[in-house]
This record gives sequence, C-alpha cells and structure tokens, in this order.
Amino acid sequence: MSEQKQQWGSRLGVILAVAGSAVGLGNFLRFPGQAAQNGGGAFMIPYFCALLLLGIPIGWAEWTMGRYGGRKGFHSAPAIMGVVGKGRVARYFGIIGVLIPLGVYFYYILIESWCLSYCFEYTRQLFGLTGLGIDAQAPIADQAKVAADFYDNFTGAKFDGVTVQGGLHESVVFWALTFAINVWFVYRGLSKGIEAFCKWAMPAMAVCALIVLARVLTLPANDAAPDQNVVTGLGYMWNPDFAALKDPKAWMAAAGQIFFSLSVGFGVIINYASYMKRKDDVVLSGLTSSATNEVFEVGFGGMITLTSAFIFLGAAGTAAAVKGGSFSLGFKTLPIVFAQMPMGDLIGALWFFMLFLAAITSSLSMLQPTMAFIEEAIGVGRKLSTTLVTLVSLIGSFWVLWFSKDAVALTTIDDWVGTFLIVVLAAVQVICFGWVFGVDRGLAEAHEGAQMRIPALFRFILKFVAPAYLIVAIVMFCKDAMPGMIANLGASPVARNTMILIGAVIAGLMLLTYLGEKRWRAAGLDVDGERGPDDVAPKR
Amino acid sequence: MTTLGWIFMSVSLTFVWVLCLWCFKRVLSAPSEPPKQVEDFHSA
Repeated sequence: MSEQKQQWGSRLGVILAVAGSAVGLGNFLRFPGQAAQNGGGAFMIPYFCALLLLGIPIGWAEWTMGRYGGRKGFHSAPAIMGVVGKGRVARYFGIIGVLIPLGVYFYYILIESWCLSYCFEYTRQLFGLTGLGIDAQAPIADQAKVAADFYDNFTGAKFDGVTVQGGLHESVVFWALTFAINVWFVYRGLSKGIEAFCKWAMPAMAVCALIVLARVLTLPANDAAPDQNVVTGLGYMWNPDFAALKDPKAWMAAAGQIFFSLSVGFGVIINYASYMKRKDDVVLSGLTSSATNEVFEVGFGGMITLTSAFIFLGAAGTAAAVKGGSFSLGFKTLPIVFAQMPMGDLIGALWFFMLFLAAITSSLSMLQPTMAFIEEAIGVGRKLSTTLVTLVSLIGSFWVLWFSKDAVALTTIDDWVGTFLIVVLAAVQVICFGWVFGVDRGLAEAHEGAQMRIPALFRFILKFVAPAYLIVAIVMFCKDAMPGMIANLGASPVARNTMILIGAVIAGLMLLTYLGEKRWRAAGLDVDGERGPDDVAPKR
Repeated sequence: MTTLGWIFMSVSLTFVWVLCLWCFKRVLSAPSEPPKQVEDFHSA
C-alpha cells in the first residue's frame, strides 16, 4: 500500500499554518498581562530586543533544520535532530520535540473547548436565551461571583471527576466535539486538512479581532467613573514605567513571552518545515509567520484586553484580573466586561470564537509531529497513525478532564512539558544548529532558495547569544521555579501520577525512536547526518 | 495616557504592522510553483 506524500499546497499555506500554530490564547490573554506588570510601554523595549535577537533567529534555525531533515527523508524531531546533531544523543533529545506538542495537546484541547463553549453561551444570549447568567445591573462583586461560579462548574475546578459524573456534562460534550474536529482536520492531512483550515481561519480570526478592536476603541466612558475611558485604558497598558526595566525579571519575562508566543522550541516548526522543498524559501517565510504572530499579539492583544477591562473595572480591578492569570482574565473577568459593554453579547461571541480559532490553529499543529513520527518510525499509513495518536491523546486529555480540581493535572503538564522542556528543546536545537551542524553551514543552508538574506549579525547571535541566553534561562528556571514544581509533586498524588503518565509517554517515544533508527538504517538513510547536503533520501 | 505612552504605542503598532505587511507583500509577489505529488516511503 502506498499513499500520497504529505506536502504543503502553497507557500502562503505553510506560512499561515506556522503563524496559526504560534497565535494562541497567550497572544490575547498572557501578553497584555506581562506588559502591564513589567513596565507597560517600556516593556516593549526588552520585548522587541528579544524578538529580534532570539525569537526570529531561533525560528530561522528551526525552519532550516526542518527543511534540511525533510530532504534527508525525515519529518519528525528525533530523526531530524539526529541528522543535524549528528548522532544518537541529539536524536533522543529530539524526543522532546514530539513530547511537547503531544503533552500540551492533552490540556490545550480542553481550554479550546472552553472557548467554543463560551462562544456558544454568548450566541444563546444573543437569541435571548440563558447563557452565562451575568446580570449587568447587579453589583460588580455579584457579577464576579456568577462568572466565577460558571467557570468553576464548567471546568470542574472544585472537584475531580465532576464533569464526567452524574449525566452528560456540557463541558464533556464540547470537549468531545472539539476533539473530533481536530482529529478530522489532522486526518485529512497537511494540505487538505491543516493548511486548508488555516487559510480560512487566520483571516477569519483577523476579521473577528478587528471588529472587537473597533468596538473597544469606540466604547463610551464609564458613566459612574468618567476617567475610565478608552484613552486612560490604553494608558494603563502603554504608559511606560522605565524603572521596571532595571529589574532583570522584566527582561526575562519579555524573552519568555516572545519565546513561547512564537512557538520556537515546540517541535512544530521543525516538523512543518520538513515538508518543504529544497529551494523553498525559509528565511522570508519564517519572518512572515513571526510578523503575523506579532500583529495578533501587539496589534490586537495589546489593544483589546486590558483597555476594555480598565474602562469597566478600573485600575484596581484590572490589576487584580491580571494577577489572577490568563484563565482568570479570559474566562472570569472578560465576561463581566462584556456584560457591561453595549453589544456585549455579540462582541463576547466574536471574542470567544476568535479565541477558539486561535486555539484550534495551534492544536492542529500539535498532533501532526506525533503522527509524522509514528508514520516514519514504524512505517504505517495516515489512518493507523491517526488512530494511535487519537488513542494516546484521548487518554491524556481525559486524564486532565477528570483530574480537574484546581487544574492540578493541567498545571503539572504545563509546568514541566509546556514550559520547562520548551526551553530545553530550544537550547538543544540552537546548540546543534550553531555548534554541531555549524553556524556557517546552517546559514548557507538557510539561504538556499531564500528571498532575503539573513544579516551577518545573526551569525554571532545564533552561535553565542541565543545558546547563552537559553542556558541562563534554564539555570534561572531551575533556581526559581523548579523547587516549587518539585514541592507540588510531593504534595499532590494527582501531580505525581500525572508525571508517571508523562513518563509512560516518554518511554513509548523512546521505544519508537529505537525501532525507527533500526528501520532508517536498514533503508540506507543518512541517520547520523554523516553525508553531505547533496545526499538526499533515496527513492523508496 | 501620557505622551510617552502614545509614542510607545504608535511605534510598536507601526513596527509590527509595517513588518507584517512588508513580509506578505514580498511573499505574495513571488512566483509560486505548483506542488508535485510523489510516492511516500513511510507508508508500508
């Protein structure tokens, strides 16, 4: 049996798919909070430095490594890292590039289903039906309680297993629906599934964002507090506080935001780029997908979220919402804001639909790396790889759905896989690119078919600055965050068992890597990257 | 909103929008090549 090889249908398609993978909830909910807490407008100085010195160059390295690996016949992070990193050590580190998207998918699909559900509730309200049940005439404290109760009940934040006990809970319906939509599009393949969806979803997301932005920027001042208006709301977000820049944490926060926002070190770009042809441009394509992500983050996220919150909740209320984190801001605070807003139900529906699109374009990219890995490790077709990945992700996602109390399972995976391992993988990738593969050879490879040249300064950045930054980031993470994460494991059996689940996934991926390596060697592929760039995968 | 706030916001928005539009203009003005279909090794 043979199948059509996976391939992108167009260059615009791959750019929008990578941009779609990068644009997620963090653009709209995390970025404004980070900026407001770290100097407001002044935060943009370290933010843009990090974009130019870290995000874009590391992205270029990933695009280049992916395309190079694809030419050698590989599409998975372990195999490609083995080629670029020239050996088994890099290959086994490459497992992280499959674990991250798969592990993050376990909980991300759940958050995605919340967005769909909230969109549904606002649509119901549009037609005069009961939705979230927030009464705009009630005191703000009562509205906050209603919004929090709805969120807690819907997500099962108070008890484990509550969403899957006592009948069919609404959240399970949306979770299953979201899961099915993702599997359907991924099964259809790169071109007909992911690319086709992103080519429609990204412009739709931009239209929704523009409508919500227009609504926010034309909001009247708060009647009860006339100094809470659009201009002061923008000021809350953008007025610079240069003193904040003296704190190194502001610079680390900016780099962290860029890093996670652009999806570098996530295992997705390297997989997506592997389906490109040798003469396909990666330099301009990488820059374009990064720039698209920045428009959604700075242009929309930086203008909408906190401005609207400030007008209705004031400085204290907005600050409290930001401190509560992204989930609190998105699912507890913004519903209160929409309740006060003229045309709030329509804007709420559009906002959560936009968040759903942002989430699904990201989650679609999370399954593809694992499917590609299974297909090339054990030589199965799309149907079987889809079935296997669906089974594994169903178990993992159900685990997070069941152990919903205080989001312990979700937080554990996010801390260890979705945060720590991303920095580790990026460090491994940039060291392999700059030091093992060779930065000059890497840049020459990047320039194959490139529509623009990478400035010479980036040679120094890729070889020295990016690895040094990432190593410092890992050390700081181990010093600041790791003790708390380990303490959580000691205190919570759910957290410990979640780590066992992650360990089981890692063991499975290691077994697949072992089997794959034997298979690739038998097929005569350049498994350890010992041959030159002109040695391509044999016709098979 | 202070004057510096307006400046930081304007510069940031201008930078991201101009960069994005410039990139897409270059991408869309490049000639595209239709994809070729080839047989896949990885399928059994």
